[in-house]
Amino acid sequence: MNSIKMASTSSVRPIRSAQRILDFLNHFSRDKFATAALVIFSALVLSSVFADLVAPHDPLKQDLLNRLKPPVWVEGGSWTYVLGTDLLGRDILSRCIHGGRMSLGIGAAVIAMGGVFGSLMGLLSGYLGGRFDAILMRYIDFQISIPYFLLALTIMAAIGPGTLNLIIVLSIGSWPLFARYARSIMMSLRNQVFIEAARVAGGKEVAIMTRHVLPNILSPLITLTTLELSRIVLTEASLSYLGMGVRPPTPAWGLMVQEAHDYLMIANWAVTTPGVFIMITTLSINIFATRLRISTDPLQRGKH
Amino acid sequence: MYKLAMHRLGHSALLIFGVVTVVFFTNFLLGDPVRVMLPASTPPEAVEEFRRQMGFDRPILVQYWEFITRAALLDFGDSWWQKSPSLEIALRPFPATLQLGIVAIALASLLGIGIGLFAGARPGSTWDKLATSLSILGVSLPLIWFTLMMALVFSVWLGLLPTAGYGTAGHMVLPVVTLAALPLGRTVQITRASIIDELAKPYITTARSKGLSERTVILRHALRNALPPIVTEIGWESALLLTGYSIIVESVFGWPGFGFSLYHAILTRDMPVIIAMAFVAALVVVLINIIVDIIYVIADPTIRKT
Repeated sequence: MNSIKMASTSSVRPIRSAQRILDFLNHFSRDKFATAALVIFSALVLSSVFADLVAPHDPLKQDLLNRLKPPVWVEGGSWTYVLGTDLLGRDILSRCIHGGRMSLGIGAAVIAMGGVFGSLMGLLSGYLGGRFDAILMRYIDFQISIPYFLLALTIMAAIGPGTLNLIIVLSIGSWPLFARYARSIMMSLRNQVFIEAARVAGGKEVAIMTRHVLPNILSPLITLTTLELSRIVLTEASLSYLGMGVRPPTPAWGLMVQEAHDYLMIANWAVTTPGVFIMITTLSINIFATRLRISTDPLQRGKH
Repeated sequence: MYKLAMHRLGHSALLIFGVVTVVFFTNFLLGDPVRVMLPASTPPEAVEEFRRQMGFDRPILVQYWEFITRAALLDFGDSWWQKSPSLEIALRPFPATLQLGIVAIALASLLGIGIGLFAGARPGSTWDKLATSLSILGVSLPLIWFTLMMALVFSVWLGLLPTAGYGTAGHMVLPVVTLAALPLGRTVQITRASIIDELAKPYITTARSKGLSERTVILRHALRNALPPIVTEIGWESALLLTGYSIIVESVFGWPGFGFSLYHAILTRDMPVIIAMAFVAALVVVLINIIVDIIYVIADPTIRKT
């Protein structure tokens, strides 16, 4: 493995960044699944950002005369409520679109807090070494070895459900992963042959950092971030489902599943639809991340 | 070996202590136990009187000291709602969860390693692509939705299995399948990646050039070295399954296990029981880590010398 690593890294010629991006897109678009996943995920993000424009109805508006309407393809459904209505006659499609804003918004916030803080701590720890590094790593080992879901659940129960609390609890659960990852990358890059080579060849520190180190840090961090986003969406949905996450009547996927749970037998679409939205989100993220890892990591390219 | 074991023991003790401490402080600092125990309409004087009687008016560190010295002797106090020791309440439902958990973990590990090996031995093939796609599907499944869909399809529509309950083998099928799905996906992914890495190493070329069959090369040579990350992952997934996934699956299927009881304790804000259950969960994690370490030592004889 080591010999392969060295052989392939030493054969990489310095190329301009525009060429690099083109290369990446070219390599990436060859995979139809990955391209589809990226398009779907982008559509989800856009519909979440512009939820107010995209959603056909107000997600909170109740229409009790039209409660538990089935989706359009089932008998009794209509184009007014394409994916049907829930127990209070609220439009499921609109609630799912706004639910996406909630789920992805929480995910983005958690990554912004936990990811940035964790990565900084990790880079700092790898850079400083010594006692700071030792203590931080001991703590991270400790936190990572606890299955966090149970703790998150008890903490949420103690401080009470709510979006802000949820973001804080999920961020606390998320940062050690980023820290450990950023640190390991920092440590392994320090001793890489090509960094040494760049230094020997007379490269300036700044140039080494931006042209050699940064591209190598970025792609694994993006992969970790996307995978972490999918995990956060799932955890948030589970916590909301258990009543320890987003508070009703705010539309959130996990909460919608829970609200419709008791009517599974007579109105299964109210459970199915938000679940399908969660599934599409995590699936597109996971396919994209798997492919991204292969496309951006030169060591992986020949393998698939 | 001895030094390593002592180090691990210290780490385990710290882990259990840490979890119990965190749960104690979040419960007692961030929530008011008296408000939870008394109805909202209780007059303020009575609330204060009750607070004094229960000793909740003392400084938090004093309360913590009292709690932790008792906890060290495995006394977590009585449940607030049921007058019996919390640790007993926390342990009672555990065998039911273990019953589901062991079957689910065995299923996920055996199938996962099998599929992962099969796919990893032929990277890029159609079988590999199929296995990879299915594993991505497995890790993307939202558990809350998957459990309900399984119940809808197999119990409501097809009428093959009971929707909820405890007792017969039929009751176990759906909870086991839903619990196993995610660990199965992860085990396939990690086994595949690990075996691909191993097969690229020089000693494999040696083994092949000796004329050994591919089967022997993979099963006897590569798998043994690929095992550590796989075992770590399965251990971690087992811990997650017993202390996390079980909360959702058991609640949906009405399985009277650890997760179901924990959720009940959380909903009724039964703090001594919540803390005792966090203790049990931490203990489970520690025990799983020990099992993983033992398998390490069996798989890799060089560890014994360190």
